[in-house]
Amino acid sequence: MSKQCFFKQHNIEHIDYKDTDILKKFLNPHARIQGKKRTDVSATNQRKLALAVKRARFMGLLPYVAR
Amino acid sequence: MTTETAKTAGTVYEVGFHVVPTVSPENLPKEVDAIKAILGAQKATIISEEFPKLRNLAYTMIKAIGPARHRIDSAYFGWIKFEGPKETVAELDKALKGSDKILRYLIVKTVRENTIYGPKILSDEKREMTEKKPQASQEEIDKSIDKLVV
Repeated sequence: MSKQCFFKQHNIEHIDYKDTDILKKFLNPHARIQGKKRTDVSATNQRKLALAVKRARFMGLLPYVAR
Repeated sequence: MTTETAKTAGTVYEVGFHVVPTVSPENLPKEVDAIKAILGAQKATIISEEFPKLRNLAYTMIKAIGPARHRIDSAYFGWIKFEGPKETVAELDKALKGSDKILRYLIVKTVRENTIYGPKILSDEKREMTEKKPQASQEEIDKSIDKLVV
């Protein structure tokens, strides 16, 4: 059985790009966004998550690439 | 008409910005006040804000000030959440774009409520981890070891 969406579990409706502690949970060691099969996040929230990560990258809060 | 005005007035935006590190900490309030003045002039109301704090950037950014290109590795990051008409965004965008003190900025639509859950969730997880640790007594451990040995 698959896990419930992280954001639904914690009642998070708006995924904030400044909330890097949470966003980092969904990145792999190369700082790429993990797929929804790995994250177990609902499709809606996966899209919001991707947007938040991209905003955080633009603002220099998260890296585009990491080694 | 009234519903339309209520709708436009009810839009909540947030501007996140990096102030260049060459600005001294004493002059930081001036930069924040300049942004607030633009919002005030457009009759926007400030909902919440965070004063800029110096933080390391995830990658080196380049800021062109006049002919010089500066490589910047850290900056003062702050944000202001506000509510106002959509014209505010265009005005703010124009002002920040031309500023030499603002390294980078982002204006997004957001919600009135607090949207930062990270610290709370992490502390909750930590607490759960410590609570879930097996609390077997010394006797129980000895018994299980004896079983294994025999």
